Amino acid sequence: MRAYRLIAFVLVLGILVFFTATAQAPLIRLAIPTTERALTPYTYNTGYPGWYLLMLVYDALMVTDLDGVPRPWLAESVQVSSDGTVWTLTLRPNIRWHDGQPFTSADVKFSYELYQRVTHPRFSGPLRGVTVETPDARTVVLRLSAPSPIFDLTLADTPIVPKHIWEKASDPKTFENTVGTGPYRLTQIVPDQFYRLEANADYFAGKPAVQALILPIIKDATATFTALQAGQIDAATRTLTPELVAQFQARPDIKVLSGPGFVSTLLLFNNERAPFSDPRVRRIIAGVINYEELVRTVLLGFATVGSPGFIHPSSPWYNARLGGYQALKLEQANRALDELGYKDTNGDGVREFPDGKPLRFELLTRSGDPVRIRTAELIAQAVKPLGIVFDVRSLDADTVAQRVWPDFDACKGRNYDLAIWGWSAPVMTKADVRGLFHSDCKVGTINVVGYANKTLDGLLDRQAQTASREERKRLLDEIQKIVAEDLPFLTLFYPDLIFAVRPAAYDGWAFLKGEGIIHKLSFVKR
Amino acid sequence: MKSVLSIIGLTILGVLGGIAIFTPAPYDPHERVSAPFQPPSPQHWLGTNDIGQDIFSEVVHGTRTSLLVGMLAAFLAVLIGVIVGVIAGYSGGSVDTLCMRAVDVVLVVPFLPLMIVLAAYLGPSLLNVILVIAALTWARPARVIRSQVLTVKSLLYVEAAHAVGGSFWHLLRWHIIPAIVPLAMTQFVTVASGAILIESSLAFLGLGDPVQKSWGTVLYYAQARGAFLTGAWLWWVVPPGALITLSVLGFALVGYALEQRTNPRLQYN
Repeated sequence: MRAYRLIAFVLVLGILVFFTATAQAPLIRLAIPTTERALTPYTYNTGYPGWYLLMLVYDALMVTDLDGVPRPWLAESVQVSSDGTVWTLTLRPNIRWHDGQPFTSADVKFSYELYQRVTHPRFSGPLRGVTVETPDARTVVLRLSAPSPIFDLTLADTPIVPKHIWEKASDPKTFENTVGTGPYRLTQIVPDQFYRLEANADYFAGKPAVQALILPIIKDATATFTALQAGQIDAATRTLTPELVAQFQARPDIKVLSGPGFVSTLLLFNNERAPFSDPRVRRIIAGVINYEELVRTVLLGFATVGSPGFIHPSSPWYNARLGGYQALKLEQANRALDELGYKDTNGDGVREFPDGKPLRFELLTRSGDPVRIRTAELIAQAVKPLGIVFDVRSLDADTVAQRVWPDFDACKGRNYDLAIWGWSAPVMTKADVRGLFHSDCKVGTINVVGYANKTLDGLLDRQAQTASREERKRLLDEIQKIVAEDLPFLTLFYPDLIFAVRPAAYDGWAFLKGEGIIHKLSFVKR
Repeated sequence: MKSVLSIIGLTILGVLGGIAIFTPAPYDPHERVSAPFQPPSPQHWLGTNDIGQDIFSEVVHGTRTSLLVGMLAAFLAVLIGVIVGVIAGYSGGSVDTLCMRAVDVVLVVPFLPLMIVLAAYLGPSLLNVILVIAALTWARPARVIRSQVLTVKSLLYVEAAHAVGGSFWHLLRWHIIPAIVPLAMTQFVTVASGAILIESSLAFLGLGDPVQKSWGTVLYYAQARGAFLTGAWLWWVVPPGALITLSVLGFALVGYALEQRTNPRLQYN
C-alpha cells in the first residue's frame, strides 16, 4: 500500500513538473487502474475503461448518445432497407485523419474486413457475414446475412482505422500506430506510468473541451482516491464505493457524479435441480426478499432495485408496464410451501423434501466481493423464516465461475444450487436476452441457470432477427413479461456508477446512462 | 523479572479467555441492529459495520473464534508432533530417518503460499482452517520432542528400566511423558499464537469463512469497505488489530516464561 502511494506520488510529481514545464492548459489528470498497452484496436486491454479511451483516439460510424441510442457520427446518415439486411451509410465530408490524410469509405471497408480477417474478441463476432461495398468515397453499403435490429450498436462499437497506415502492418495484433480520426491524438506513452493525449483541434465535431488529458496509472483503489483528495489527480475511471460518497460530497473541491449502471447483480437458481426447477418455489423465494432494504443496506441506496424481467429501467428496451417483484407475506409463503409438499416433518425448523432430505442449499458467492457476500447473507436471513436454509459459501472467483459456468460454456452444464452472480454492462446495452434465456445452449450462451421455455425460445429467435427496432421492442416487452413470471433467476439490483471529480479542473462531464462519464461525449460538443 | 512477564502474559490470556467464554457482547453480532457505517455512540461503542452489525459485539465474538482456532490448531499440531517425535526418537533407525525427512519437508515448504493454496482449495470453513494450520505446524514440535526422547532414552536409569524388561508403554508412561510434557506445553503456546495470526491473515485475505465472526473477518470487511479512506479505521481496524497483537503478546510472554523453565538447553547453560 505504502509502495503504491509512493509510486503514485512520484508519478504525479513527475506529471506536475511536466505540466509546468510545457504550460499547456487546460489539462486534466484522469487516473486509470491498469496499462492499456499501445491503445490501438488490437492492443487495448480492458473493456472498461480501455475501449472508451480507445474511442477518444478513434471514431466509429455511429455513436451512442447519452440515452444509449446510437446515432450517426462518422456517417452523416444511416438508412436501413425494409427487410433489415442492407444498411446504407453516407459519410460526413471533409474528415481528416490525425496525419492530414482524408477519411473515405475505403477506410471503412478496410477496417471491417480487417476485423473479419484478423480475429478480434470484441469486433469480429458482430461483423460475421457482413459484406462491405463502396460505390463512392462517401457511401458505404453493408449487406447482412440476416436482419439484426441491433446492428447500429455494432456500428457504434467498431473503431475505423486508416487504410493507408494499417495496410502496411505485417501483424495487426502487435501494430502500434495510433493515428485515428478521434478528438484526441495519443502523443506520449510512458509504459506503466502514464498516457498523454492532446486535443485534435481540427476535429469534425468541434474542438474538444479539454486541451490535454494525462492518464496516470494508479493500480490501487485506496491510493487513487487518496490522490484525488490530495488534488494530485482530477478524476478517475475507477468508481467510488457508496460508503465513501458522504465523505467526498462534504468536500467543496470535489464533486460526486452518479447515475444508473448496467452491471447486474443476480441470484441464480439452478433450474435443473429440485426444488428450484419449480417456478412456484422460485416465486415464493422472490416474494420474501425485500429488494429496497437490500439496496439500502448493502449499497446505502446507490443502486436501482432489480426488475424481475432483467432489463434495467433506464434501458431503452425496458418494459415500463412491468411492476416489481410480487411481495409475499410470511404466512402466505409458508402456506404455499406447505401446499407444495415441503413440510417440516421432524420439527427442527427446516422443511424437508417428501423423501426426508432437508431444504438446505449452498449459496455460492465470490470471496473478493464484500457487497455480494453481504447480499448473500441478507438473502439467507430472508428465507430462514420459511424453513429453508441457504448456507453462504464464499469461494474464490474462478472456483465460483467454474461451478456456475464451466469453461464459460453453458453446454458443459452446471454444478451448484444457488449463486450470486452478475453480468457486465454489454449484456444490458445489447439486451442480450437470447443469450440469457434460450434453452439451446449454443444460442443461450450465457443461460447459466439451465432455463428452458419453448414458447420463450420462439420469441427470442424472432427478436434477434426482426428488421426494426420498434418490432424488437414489442417482442422484448413480451419476453420480459414471461421472464418476470417464470423467474429463472432473480435480478436483485444494478449498482449505480459513482464518480468523484474535481470540478475546478473540468466540469463538463456527461453521464452516459448505464456506462458512466468516461466516454467521448464528455469531451466533445454533443 | 521473568515471573512478572509471565504474570502479565497469563493475565492477558486470562482476560481474553474470559471474554471468549462469557462473550459479554451487547448484541448478537449477526443481527443487523442499526444503520450501516455508524461511528461510535453510547449504543454502539465501536460503531456499526457495513451492514449495520455492532462492531463491538463482532470483536467480542471474534475473540472466541480466534482463541478456539489457536487452541485447537495448536492442540492438533502438538499432538501430531508428540506422536511423530516419540515414535521417531524411541524407534531410531530407518523409522527415525523417515520421520525426520518428513519433518524436513514440512519445515522447508514455503509456508504462507502453501497455506493460501490449501485454504483456497479446501474451501473456507473454520474446521479447514484449523486442519490446514495443524498440518503445517506440527513439524517443529515433532523435532523438539524427538530430541528430548533421545535424551531421555539414553539416561542410565531409563536404560536400566528397559534392561529389566520395561515395556514401551511402561517407559512412555513413567519416563518419556513426564519429560516431554513441559516441552509440549511450550510448543503449544508457540503454535497457538502463530495459529491466531495465520487465521487472521487468511480471513483478512478473504480466504477464511466470511460469515464466521473473527478478528480477521472484521478486518477484511473494514479494508474492503473503505475504512482506510475514511475515519472509520480508528474504531473498525484498531480494536481487532490491537486484540490480535495482545493475544500474540500474551502467548509469547507465557511461552517465554515456560521456555525458561523447561528448555533443557536454556536451563543448563
